[in-house]
Amino acid sequence: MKNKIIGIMALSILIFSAFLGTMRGQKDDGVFYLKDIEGQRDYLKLFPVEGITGDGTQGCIFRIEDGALSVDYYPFGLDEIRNLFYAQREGIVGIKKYSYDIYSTNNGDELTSFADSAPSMDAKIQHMDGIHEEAMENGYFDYVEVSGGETVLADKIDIYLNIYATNSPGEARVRTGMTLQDQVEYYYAKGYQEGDETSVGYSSFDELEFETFCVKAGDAYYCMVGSKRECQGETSLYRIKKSGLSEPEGTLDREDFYQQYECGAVERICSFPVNEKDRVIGLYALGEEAFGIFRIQNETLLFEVYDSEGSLVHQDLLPTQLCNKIDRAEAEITVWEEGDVSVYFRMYDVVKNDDSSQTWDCVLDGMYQIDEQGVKRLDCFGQRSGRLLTLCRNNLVFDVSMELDEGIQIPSYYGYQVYFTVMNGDTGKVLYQGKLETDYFEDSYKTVSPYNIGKNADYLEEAVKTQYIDGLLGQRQRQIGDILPLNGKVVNLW
Amino acid sequence: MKNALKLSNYLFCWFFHKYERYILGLSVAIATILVFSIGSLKDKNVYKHFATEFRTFDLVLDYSGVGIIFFLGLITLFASIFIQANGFYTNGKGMYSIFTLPMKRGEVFFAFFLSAAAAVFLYFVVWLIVMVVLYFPITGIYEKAAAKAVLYISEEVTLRNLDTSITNGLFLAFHRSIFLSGCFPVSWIQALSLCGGMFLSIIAIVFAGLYNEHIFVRVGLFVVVLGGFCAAFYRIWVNIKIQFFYSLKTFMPQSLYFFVISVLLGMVLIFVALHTLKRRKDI
Repeated sequence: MKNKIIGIMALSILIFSAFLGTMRGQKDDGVFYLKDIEGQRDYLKLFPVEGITGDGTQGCIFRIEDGALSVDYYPFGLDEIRNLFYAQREGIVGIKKYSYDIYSTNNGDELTSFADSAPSMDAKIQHMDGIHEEAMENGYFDYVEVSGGETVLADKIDIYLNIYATNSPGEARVRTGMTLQDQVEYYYAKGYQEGDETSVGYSSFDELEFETFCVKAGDAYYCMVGSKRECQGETSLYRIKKSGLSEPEGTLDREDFYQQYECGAVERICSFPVNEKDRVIGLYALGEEAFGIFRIQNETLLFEVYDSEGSLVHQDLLPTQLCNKIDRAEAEITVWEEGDVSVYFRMYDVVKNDDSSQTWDCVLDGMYQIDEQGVKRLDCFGQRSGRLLTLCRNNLVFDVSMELDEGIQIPSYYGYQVYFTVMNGDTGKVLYQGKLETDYFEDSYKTVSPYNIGKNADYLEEAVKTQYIDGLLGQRQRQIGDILPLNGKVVNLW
Repeated sequence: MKNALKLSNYLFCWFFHKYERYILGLSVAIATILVFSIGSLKDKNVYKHFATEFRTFDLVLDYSGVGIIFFLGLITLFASIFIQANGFYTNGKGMYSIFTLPMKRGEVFFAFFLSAAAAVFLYFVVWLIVMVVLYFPITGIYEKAAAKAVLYISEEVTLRNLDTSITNGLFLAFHRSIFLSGCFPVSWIQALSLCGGMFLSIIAIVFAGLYNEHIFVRVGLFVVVLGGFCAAFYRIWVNIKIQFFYSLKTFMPQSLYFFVISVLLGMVLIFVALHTLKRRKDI
């Protein structure tokens, strides 16, 4: 042959091009389209959404806008596509969106809060040598070498609200006016570390898991400590600006059993009395200009909307007989760019089991639609689990949820399909129902496989045990990751 | 230019006869034997815990270690390129005869580069053809076995003739296999970084072979060859980390950065090499 080099280069390039071309042709994106089940698709056009779906090696970002499904496929795993998706929603374009990482987005500038406690001024205080035996039983001191300690016991404690920002110096601390008295013995234990001047502290208050809320409305933050049945006194809603953080006056012994100082420019807006029948269970930001509070007063459940000045704008009584059972509230809040807000709340009854786990039972759910016409409560018809996204707007309820396919009823078979439903907010009549039809699913744990399980096939146990299969070699799934509304932000507080 | 092509042709034919046909033949033979022996349906083998029709081609290739054979062959290939270029100083023919040809020194370097590039191209192409050809008998074995199997769901329900095509497919094999997706890319991102990395490695190994003044420059160039390998096969490293070490890393934008850096570095090396070779007055 005259010149092998040219021949080889040309042949290689030809073969690689043919290979790439064939691969592109063989690439099977599968079946993925929006199928109407009933109703008119025009109703779907009122709720444009976008989402991600895929498995360990490939997936897509899809959009349902104007009732049409458009899909962008990517040769990345679902987690990389999720980063791309959120980067695009933030408006980052170009090469920068490939290096966006949602877990490292910096929230250090925002204010956060936590609650702690100290004995009240009029409490009976007892000093004890050694660490309280309950603290030792809890296992908190298991991993530190302590040689001796002290405990302070009190019968009445005050609850303080602490506010700080990770990236800014200073803090704010205020006594909320909530007290706990005589329910159990409240202790503050301190253990001295061997060979060190420092000590490790633990308080029985830490086990009580008080919830604090800190939401931003306008340019100020509104904070509050949620109350529990055992509390007495009152809990207050405070407003603080970022510039209100300051250093506490005087010298502080940070290693003391408890702190009783107050600092920071914290402004009290209003107070709610708390006792066994009156509780405050939720505070949520409703967009930039308003926030909402869920509270129980005299066995009625109230939802109140405040504006960014702190004045009450709307109050709604929820009709329920189950106020005694409600322990916690959670809400998913969607804010559209045009200013409409949708609140999907669920009230839980928390039951502590014997093995120190908790069961959360949803006893009440519903929705609030907030727009320029005011605040309206809607029912959120349908089943309570498997929901990906639930919105209400313009008197319509939009629900995206997953249901198990009827195909093969075997446990661990990933046959979930995603259904879109638009309902009339007042009557619950289904105006549109559709489904994301896909053929892309595979059973992760290899339970649907043709072998005779009557035989002793040990690889069946192996397939179920080795769940690292969820890597590259395992799946071919169109598993729905996230679904979010276009032009809207969801603050999901589950 | 004509002389450069002629010289590169001569170098390549020599290289093929002396080294490459053995490297290629041996590596392809070992790979085929490995794939068939490990991917067979014998009772005691590594795929025991996958039911037969879920044993896909990418699974077989990745588990059987064929990728390691590929890389050993590639490294041997690069070593042989180096030995061939280096041999022009050490054996009787010497660089004298090369550099007394009626060619510019830059053209000589280009001839060596073309020959090495053709060798690497040939290696990749032959392996690609072998991998594609091996796909059909292996999946044929599994599909035949799967067709005979039966699933007992419960006493009343038995399933036969389940659709096994959902897990097979040539595109899926090349996309999901760690080895295949890195070396024979179906995504343009990996194709770019593979080309960039191999370009850098070939330049560096040819330069290392022709340059024998200082040993540490040669060692430095070997490190550059390794760097080119890292840029070309970064995707494989990321996939291994994700699968076996439970970490979550991304391909982008690092792959594109690697491509740009290796192409730029390759250009710089070309200029350095041309300048250095021109500078040699003793030959």
